[in-house]
Amino acid sequence: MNVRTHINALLRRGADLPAVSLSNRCARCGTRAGRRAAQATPLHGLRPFLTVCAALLATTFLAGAQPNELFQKAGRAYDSGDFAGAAAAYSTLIQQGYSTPQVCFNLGNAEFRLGRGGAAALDYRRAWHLAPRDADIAANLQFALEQTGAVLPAAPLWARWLQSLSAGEWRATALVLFWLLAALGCLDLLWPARRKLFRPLAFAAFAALLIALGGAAYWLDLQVRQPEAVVMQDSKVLFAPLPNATEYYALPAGSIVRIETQEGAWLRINAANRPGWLPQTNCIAVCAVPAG
Amino acid sequence: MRTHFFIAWLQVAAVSLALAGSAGAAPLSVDWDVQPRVLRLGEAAQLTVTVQGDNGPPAPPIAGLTDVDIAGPSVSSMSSIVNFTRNLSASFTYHIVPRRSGTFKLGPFDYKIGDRMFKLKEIELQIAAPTPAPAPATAAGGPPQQATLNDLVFARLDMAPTNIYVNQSFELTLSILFRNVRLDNGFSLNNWAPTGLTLSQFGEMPAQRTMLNGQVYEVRQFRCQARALAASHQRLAPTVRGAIVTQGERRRRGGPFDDPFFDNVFGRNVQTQPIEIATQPLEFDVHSLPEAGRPANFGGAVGHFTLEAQVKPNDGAVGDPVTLTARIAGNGNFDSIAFPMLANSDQFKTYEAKMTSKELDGSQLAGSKTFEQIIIPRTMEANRVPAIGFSFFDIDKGQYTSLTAGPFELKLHPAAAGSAVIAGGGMALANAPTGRDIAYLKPAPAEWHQRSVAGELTGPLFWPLQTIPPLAVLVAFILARRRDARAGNVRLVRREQAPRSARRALRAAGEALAQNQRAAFFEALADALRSYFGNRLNLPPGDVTAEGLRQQLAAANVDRTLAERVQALFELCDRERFGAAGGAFDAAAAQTAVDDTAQLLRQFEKVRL
Repeated sequence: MNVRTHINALLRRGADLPAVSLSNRCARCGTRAGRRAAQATPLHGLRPFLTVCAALLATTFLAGAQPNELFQKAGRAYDSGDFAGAAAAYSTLIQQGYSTPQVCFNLGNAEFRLGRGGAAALDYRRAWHLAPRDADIAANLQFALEQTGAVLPAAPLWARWLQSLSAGEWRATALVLFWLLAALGCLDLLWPARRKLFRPLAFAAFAALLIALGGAAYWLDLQVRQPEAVVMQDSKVLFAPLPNATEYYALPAGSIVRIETQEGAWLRINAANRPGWLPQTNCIAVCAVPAG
Repeated sequence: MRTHFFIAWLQVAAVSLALAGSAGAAPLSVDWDVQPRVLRLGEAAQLTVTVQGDNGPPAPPIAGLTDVDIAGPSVSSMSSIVNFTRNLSASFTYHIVPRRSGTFKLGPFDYKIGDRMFKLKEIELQIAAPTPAPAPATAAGGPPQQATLNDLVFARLDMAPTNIYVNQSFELTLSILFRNVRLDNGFSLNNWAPTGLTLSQFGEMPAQRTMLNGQVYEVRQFRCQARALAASHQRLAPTVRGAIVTQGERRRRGGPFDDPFFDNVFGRNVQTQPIEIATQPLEFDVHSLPEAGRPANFGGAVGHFTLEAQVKPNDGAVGDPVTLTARIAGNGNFDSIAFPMLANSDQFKTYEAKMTSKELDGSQLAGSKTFEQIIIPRTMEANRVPAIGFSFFDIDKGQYTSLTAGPFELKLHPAAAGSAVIAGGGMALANAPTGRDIAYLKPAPAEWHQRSVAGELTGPLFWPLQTIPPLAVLVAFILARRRDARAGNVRLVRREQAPRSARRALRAAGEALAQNQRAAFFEALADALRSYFGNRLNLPPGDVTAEGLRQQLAAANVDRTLAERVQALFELCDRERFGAAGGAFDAAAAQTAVDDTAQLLRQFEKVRL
């Protein structure tokens, strides 16, 4: 039994065993190897404390090592041409909650190599949500859309401005401004002689805080309400939510549309100011943190 | 004054005459009509000839009519100036009364005005023979019997055109025909909920007359626009709910008040009997648009359309914007028309197209849409804007029609030095990209964090930490309030200063004692008492005397023993300071005095003064 197995056994069995045992087996894991490993420790008397520390360290270590190994494994699969394997590994990482821009971007690459333009566009868009200023993500998204014939929807000027920072950056900015505003408020109250200096600064910080909160709210809306969706395959937008309704226009895979409402299994979408109906199965909502 | 007004009037009149003289005249045209064209024998019709562009033409040659009696004409003329255009018109009105029943024609006539000859096309009149009235109402004034009612009142639903494709707009016309009965004005439709059709509101058309089976029927027509959403078989069989006016005070016909409006206004006895008017079912098929031959750029437009496009300016530099304008006009479902925009290419950078104008008639089925798209030539080779295409389904031909406009030639010259270079262009550069592909994989992130919808800032200490700033502001606010309160309260400030000032003076006394300075010691000791009680009692420095203090302490009901000890200390200090005491400086006694003073002041800290 190696050390990691021993630690895992400790974690599994918990700390409810007696701290001191006269047997030649480890009091925690019940193995002789564990007993030897424990006796080899100079601070054997601090076993309960060390057990808890080891468990905490092991948790941290495994949590960091596992996604990295999986990420590297996915990269090797991609390099060897096993794009399906790479996509599966990246998808596993996302299902585990590691939806970083890098993982989403690489998953998009794997999907693109597999010829799934819609899925690639979806992953690139998710990566873009997490890192909107990343030039590689923007370029790959544009390229994927060009390959499928889709067009990147044009955002209004204010939205483009809010997209210059990611959700996390807006939140961090808001947090800093919140503390700065409080500090300026304290100084303004306690140091009235310098009020002419502090008060304009406080107003400027307050205005900046409102803008930062607006940016954070913009991204939160995209992540929670999920008004954006990506069409997964070439689809026909219909005039009505009926299977035999008239086709309004065609949308190539990868098209990014705006969801307006949902009626049963149908979504009323809007692409380039042309509202129409799509089956719900034809598109997937863009969310930076997809459900596992 | 009166002279000035007259001169001004003359000036206005002169300008008006000048404008009238310089105004252009409307072109000459002739129109004629007979209404009604369906008559009962004995009824009169009105024949009107209208001449536009001349207010003094000769009378039209309405002559040679053998089957009608004709009276007239009565002539009216009009002249007006609108927007510097002089409008002249004249109309000739005749009254004609047919002499026999049947169908006969009026015209054609040749009408010469000046040196121009106009042909008045023939008009057909239908004259019904007189028939006995089929008991329009019972003798008691009740409604007609149902057997005859269906002949007297019935409705018809018509459509135009009759061959309908999906997404094609068409007209539905509801006609209510009646004779020998009076119908109330209000109608409603029952059993009218077509599925798969979008319908506009019904609007009433001008009333007409028609002849059926030798009978003259009054016709009220209502029209709406319909559009089929999906291929289907449609059966429309609504029932019209209306009312027959069954009783009323029959008045003498004619006169200025011969109108149903006055029946209600003057409270005449009007009664109505509701009826349901059956409608012949209207059945038709909505055909789906054929898959065969459907162009790739077909966007759902159905109807007849034309496409015109142009680029402006067609002479410019590389990098200068060019506006591509396209106008789609015709008849059809305009809401399905989108601009056939150009996509980005190596030669042209394109922007999103915008609709700049939309001119549609009331039915929203005829008119035009104009779109504009900004395109920018990236290279010198971009001297030809590609053709744009628009496809629609031609309902008459039953097939798709594709329209194209362009390509459009551009006269390009190189961009001036320092002008913008369009990113991604095909400029012939030494390191120009020769291929395109997706960017390679990204490296692993430096740290792995599991994300949640709320984001990264969700640690257990995050929100507790965020309470610190508002709490700090709250504390600062309380401190500032206290400071402001103290700033305006001298008694409070002096009360807080009392022990500090006393301690300071006692320290000075201790230092004087250590240096064996008798006068300085007692001066400091007295200062400790004066400063303490002066601050405690908020007294000016000169008012802190032994006697004054005794009175103050007595007024405050201070323990007598404490007051006497204060008194004794004051007297000791005064004796030593003003030379009443003699002998050597007793350091032990001085230290005792310091300790007594300190203890006494500590006790006074607990006393409310």
